[in-house]
Amino acid sequence: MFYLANRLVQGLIVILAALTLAFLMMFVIGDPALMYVGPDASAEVLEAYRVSLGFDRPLIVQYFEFMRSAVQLDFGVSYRHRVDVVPIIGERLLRSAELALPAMFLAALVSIPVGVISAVHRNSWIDYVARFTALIGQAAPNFWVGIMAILFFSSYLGILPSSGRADPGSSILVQSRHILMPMIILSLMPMAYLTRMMRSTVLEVINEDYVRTARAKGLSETKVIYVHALRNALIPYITLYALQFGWILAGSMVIETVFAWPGFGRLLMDSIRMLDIPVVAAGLTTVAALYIGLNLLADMLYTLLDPRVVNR
Amino acid sequence: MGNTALKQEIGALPDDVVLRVSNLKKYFPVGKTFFKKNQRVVKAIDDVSFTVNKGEVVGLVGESGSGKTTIGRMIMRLIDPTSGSMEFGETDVATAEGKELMAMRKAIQIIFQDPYGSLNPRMKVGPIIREGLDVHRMYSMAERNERIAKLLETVGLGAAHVNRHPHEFSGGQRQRIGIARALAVSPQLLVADEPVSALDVSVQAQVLNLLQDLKEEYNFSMLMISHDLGVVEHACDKVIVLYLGRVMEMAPAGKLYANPTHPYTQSLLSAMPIPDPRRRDDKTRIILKGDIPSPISPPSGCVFRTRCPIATKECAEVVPPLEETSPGHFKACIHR
Repeated sequence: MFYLANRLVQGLIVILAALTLAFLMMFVIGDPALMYVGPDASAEVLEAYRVSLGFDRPLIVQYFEFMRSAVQLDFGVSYRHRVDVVPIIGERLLRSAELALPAMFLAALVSIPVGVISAVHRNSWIDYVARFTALIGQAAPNFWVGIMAILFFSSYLGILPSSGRADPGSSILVQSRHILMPMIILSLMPMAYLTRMMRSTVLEVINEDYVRTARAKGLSETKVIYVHALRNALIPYITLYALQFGWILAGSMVIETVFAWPGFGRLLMDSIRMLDIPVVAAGLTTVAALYIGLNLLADMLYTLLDPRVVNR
Repeated sequence: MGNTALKQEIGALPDDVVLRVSNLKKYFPVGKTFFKKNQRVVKAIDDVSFTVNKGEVVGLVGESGSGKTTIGRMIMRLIDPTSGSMEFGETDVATAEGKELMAMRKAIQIIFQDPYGSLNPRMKVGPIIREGLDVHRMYSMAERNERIAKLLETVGLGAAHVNRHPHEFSGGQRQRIGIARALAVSPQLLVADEPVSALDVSVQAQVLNLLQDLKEEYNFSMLMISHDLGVVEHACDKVIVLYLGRVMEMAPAGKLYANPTHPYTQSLLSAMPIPDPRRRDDKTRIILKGDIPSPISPPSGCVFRTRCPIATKECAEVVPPLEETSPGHFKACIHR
């Protein structure tokens, strides 16, 4: 319990640091009032906005004001969309989840069996093919893979839509046709990484004496691998899996931009490009919070799964 | 080639023999990669024959790399031999399949050296011991629990431990769990691969005595693999001395320790520490030169000749056969 409280306090400190960074960023990048009114506004209009938005006050006052509203989940109004930032972020996160969740599911669905088979048949042709593919999957830049996939499946074969999200009212089939390509490409990197991790953790436990004993007891090979070896190999795998969601956040910025998917990653990219500082500040904080949450979840899972890690 | 004195006709095992190993060989290919087919082999075990009689404890001793563990794993059929046979009852362990293999998996059990690696860290003690009973469908459900409790008592742990995880125990206790797991299915043969070398000396004696007591009670034979000549002297009826995958000398424990005939055995025994300082003086140590040679390119003729104090030219030319010098006492040396 003390451990959990300790971790929560740590997480809170990191989020506060991220907020401070986000605040400072607004002034590093330029004059926030100028960005709000646009470059063509007259000096009087600019000054009027500066006063009305409170940018004329001392920096320290603005800082505490910003922090106070931020902890109340109020990041102000988007310069670009002219509406509250938080609902936009929430909506875009949901749309990102439409890609990210099936992508992570697919990554698990492929990486666990392929990793196990690769380890069990170590140095066989299956293993070589799996390892080579995983290496390519991890090394190939995903924006390039995305563009190649669009060229092949959309331009050349014409069987999948090249970009965008289907109209919310359209049928499941149409919607999933839009999800399919970006989802698979988003999953490639975690899939490749997790396959390699699965293989190495299985290889590690497969040479343990308790696996040998299980075999000597007369257990079937399937049981030896899936009950004794896999259950132990999954301990590090699951924590790494939770952390891969963090990578998906980064990946989604690229993939959502390539596929024009209206998700959180693309919102962040667009906002950075347009200098929509409130959205960037809120987005940055969201990323920090998500990452801290996932890390905490990974650690909690570890204590749950591994009896050797004592619950403190 | 060697072992002529031991070569037996294939046929039914005599009643008092539990396991008969004949001309066992295991060659591991080395340097094999995807692009390069293997050209060389390691002769981990080269033409080894011996028998384990009912109720007997046979010790396999040798330095690291002598092939002790490889023999143990072949008898467990964890690895397949290159050639040779291992007769166990009606079964040849080397080729058993299906039902025969399952029956053998029940009748031969193993204890490993490292009590930290040999128990699944995610399973509780109860299920660890129970699994063998489940696999071989022994006893009813209720009887299985009873048996687990009784086994834990027998190995000196107490039935209350069934719901604890392995990491909650000390090394000696974990080794006791390993023993309980092995005995659960009432094996006829127990392969103990360095059962005490990972334990403290004080605990070693406890575990060895426990094995001795259990042998009487559960009526099994044992193949004890060890590099510790003291342990083997204490626990074994018969001792087989291995060097580079070959048998150097084989004799009843009393005879071997009182009167070692092979120069390798003599040097091993001379290196054994003597607890009584007054007796140390009348002992001369035979110190071996150099290291154990690479098993990829073992010496010609007698594999021990490169380190042997009495080696002659002849030793490089002929592989010494394993010959019986007195009843039950075999040695592979052309000189003595």
